[in-house]
Amino acid sequence: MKKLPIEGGLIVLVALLCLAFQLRMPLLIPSEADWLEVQKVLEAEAQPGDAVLLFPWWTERARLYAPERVTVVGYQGSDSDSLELHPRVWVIAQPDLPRASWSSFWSVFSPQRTAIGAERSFGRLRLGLYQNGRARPVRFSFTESIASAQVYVEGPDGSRLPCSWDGRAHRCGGGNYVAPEWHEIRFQPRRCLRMFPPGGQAKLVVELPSVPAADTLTVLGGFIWDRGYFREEKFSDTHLTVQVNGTQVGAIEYPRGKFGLHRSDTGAVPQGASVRIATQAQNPELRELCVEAYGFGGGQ
Amino acid sequence: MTVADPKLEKRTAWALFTGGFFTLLFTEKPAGFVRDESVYFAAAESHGRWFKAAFSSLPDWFRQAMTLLGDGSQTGFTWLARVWDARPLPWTDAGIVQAFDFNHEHPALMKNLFGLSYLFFHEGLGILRPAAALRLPAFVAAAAILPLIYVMMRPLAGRVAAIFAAVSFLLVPRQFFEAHLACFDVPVAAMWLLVVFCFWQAFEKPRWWIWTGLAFGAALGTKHNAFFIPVLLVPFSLLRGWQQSKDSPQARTLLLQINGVYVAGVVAYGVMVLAMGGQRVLGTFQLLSPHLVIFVAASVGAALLLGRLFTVHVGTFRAVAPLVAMAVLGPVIFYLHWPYLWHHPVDRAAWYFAFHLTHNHYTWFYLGELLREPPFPLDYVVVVTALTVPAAFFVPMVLGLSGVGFRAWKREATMLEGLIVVNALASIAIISQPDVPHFGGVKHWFPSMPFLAMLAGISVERGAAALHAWRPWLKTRERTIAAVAILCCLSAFIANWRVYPYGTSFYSEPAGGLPGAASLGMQRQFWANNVTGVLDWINQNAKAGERVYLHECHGGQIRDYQKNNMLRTDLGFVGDPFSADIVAYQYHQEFREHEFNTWQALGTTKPVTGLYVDETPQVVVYRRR
Repeated sequence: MKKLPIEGGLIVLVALLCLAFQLRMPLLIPSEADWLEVQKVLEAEAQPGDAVLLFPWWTERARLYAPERVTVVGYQGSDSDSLELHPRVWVIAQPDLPRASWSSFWSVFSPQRTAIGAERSFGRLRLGLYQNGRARPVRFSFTESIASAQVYVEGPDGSRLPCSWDGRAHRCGGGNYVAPEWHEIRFQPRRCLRMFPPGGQAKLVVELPSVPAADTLTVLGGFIWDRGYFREEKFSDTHLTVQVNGTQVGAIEYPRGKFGLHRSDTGAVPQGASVRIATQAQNPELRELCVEAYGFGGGQ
Repeated sequence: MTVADPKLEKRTAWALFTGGFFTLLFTEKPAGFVRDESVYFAAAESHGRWFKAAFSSLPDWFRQAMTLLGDGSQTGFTWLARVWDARPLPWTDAGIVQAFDFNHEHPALMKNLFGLSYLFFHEGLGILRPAAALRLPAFVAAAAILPLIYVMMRPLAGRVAAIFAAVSFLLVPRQFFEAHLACFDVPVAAMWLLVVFCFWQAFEKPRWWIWTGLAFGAALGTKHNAFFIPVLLVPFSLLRGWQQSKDSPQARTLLLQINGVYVAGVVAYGVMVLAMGGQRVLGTFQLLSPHLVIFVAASVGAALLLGRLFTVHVGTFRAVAPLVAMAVLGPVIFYLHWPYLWHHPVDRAAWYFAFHLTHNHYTWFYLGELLREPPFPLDYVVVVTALTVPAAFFVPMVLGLSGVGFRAWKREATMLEGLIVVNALASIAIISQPDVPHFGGVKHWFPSMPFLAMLAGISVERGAAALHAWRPWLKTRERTIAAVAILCCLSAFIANWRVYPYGTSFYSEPAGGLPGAASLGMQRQFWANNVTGVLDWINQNAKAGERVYLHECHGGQIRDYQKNNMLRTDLGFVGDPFSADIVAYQYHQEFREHEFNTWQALGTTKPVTGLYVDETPQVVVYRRR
């Protein structure tokens, strides 16, 4: 009996699989017409405040076709994003792409999400709309209310140096300012308040003097871009503190080398309370923090 | 395996070279200018200008020398000194520094050739656009890899398998793309292969030991990878010398003495470094210093012993002569080819070595993590190779490697097979060290790839032959081998067809192509050449005078795109999104902040166009609202 040609058989099998892969690949890519169909639906049906979640996360060609009134979300890890600011979530999926595991996506996405209507297919694109059970009503947002906030640099003795509002940013001197900006915090695009600590014992403070009541006060923040990566001794640990009516209710510590977006959820905020968030680092070099703060829920 | 028809062999080798060269030449235009290439373009033009000035000054210099000789007042050394003092500006250190100081972190051989080609084919004959003229020597180097693979493989495999191995090298999409570039990664792979080829030829043929030395000098002049070559060849040389001298005690004694000379030289340098410290050793390296004496003494001593060995035993001579030639000619050619070293060889060479020993690390995305500093994952090089070389080539490479490994285990492997395996693994092993910089995709271990292609060829032939013996579907064994080889090449050809000229973005079938690699969290692209995908849109849509920010592209690239009529000259190019009206952002995970800065600066998160290869965002264009 002749010996089985394992080596040759394996090579031919692999070559055939590769050929099949390369020939099939163009068939998996949505056409311009498919995208335009999706665009038509979104233009007609998407509401302000909706989010468009991408699957796989990197399929950001969708940005070309999504109306600007919706927030397109796609970053490494976005499958599990709670999207708590968005009551409705559109999912644009390309589950046929190689290494796109719809079941993995679905297992983290689907809890607390309810489909609104049937999923629609446009060539290789699938479009679904979901009620987002993880969304929470926003009672107040520091990012949205920045124009009416009091922003100042507070010395260790409690003295305050106010920053001046120029219509876009609160200017605090020395080139430092507070404004809502887009930044990356560990792969995520965040529209957050630029709050770079002023240095020494001084704190950069943003205060909303009279907020609506909220069930939860949530503060999120992190070093932008690659700043969290730097671990050398010369860089300082950075502190983010949260106060309600003068009492500290939360804090997030950012030691050297701490990456990513971190979060602090604290209790209810009474109607008319003064809420302040502050950043501080002894050596402000590269301690570039971006912060968001929200009051969620119905309140009292 | 015997080679049947020398004429046919020669014709096949030439056909491979010619085919490779013209393929590269005719597909050159779409290949974008990578970040480094525009630097080398500028350096090459500067080198070219120097050559022009230096050689056009020679007649005047000669006349001056003759005048000095004619007045009869000086003779001998005085005359020579006067002639030397009267040398024209290009031959002085100031003139040389002016031309060669820019980009002196790499030796000059390829840049000299790029520059001369530019002078000849663009400025002189005017038959090539600037970029094509500059790139032409790189095409020659890349195309030379094909016949070298073919010729080196022939003793181990048939004609079809050797052709397959040669062609497969160029069909790897990342290699195909980078073979177009006026850079050094493919040329140094060619030089490395050339040195090994000459070294192997020198075992049997006269004079090839000199060619080995010359080839090694050229390799040193191409890129610093070449410094590792002798380390790999020494064991083969010693083993061969030992085998050859087994019946000649005198030859063996001389072999050991030659080795002793080099060991003594290394020990002497080691003692100096231990006694004085590395910096002081370098600082005191002058023309008349113990440092140079050691080199000259070792070279002369080894050359004398080699001369005696030649008269005693030619076989042993041929085993060690290539190494001696490399040791002597390598440094000499390295010095001579690079005018920048002529007046200050030691401190400038020392700077060059220090630059590469302390090269900074660029951030790199690998399996969902940004690698910023060592230690890097030990598996990185092997995994990236597996995910970027088409599987129809990679699997035979691995099978070929295993086959030779198995034969070596059974002590059946030939020295040629050993040479191929060692050189196939060397660059991969070196770059796999966790402290070695890991940026640059796969280009840093390109010198391994021709040897891996040979192993693939061996495996395809063996596998196809076994298939034929099992079920002879086709008439002859050769036809079966050809059919399997073509089948293996087909998917790679289609992949090239689809992804070129965005070769740095290519991922193979096990990765799931570009989309799969994006989901795996692999580096999307590098080197900024993919911007060519949106240049047409910018040329057609930008208003006159609009400010454009080409993210990751430096001024040299913009200059080259304009010079080659690929980019309008009436636009303003700026260095950040905040001062731009149009931004072409290049998608890199480590630069996401730059994209979000663009959103911030232009007041929009919605692109106007982009380059999406198999859906993966590569270059995204935004316009100010």
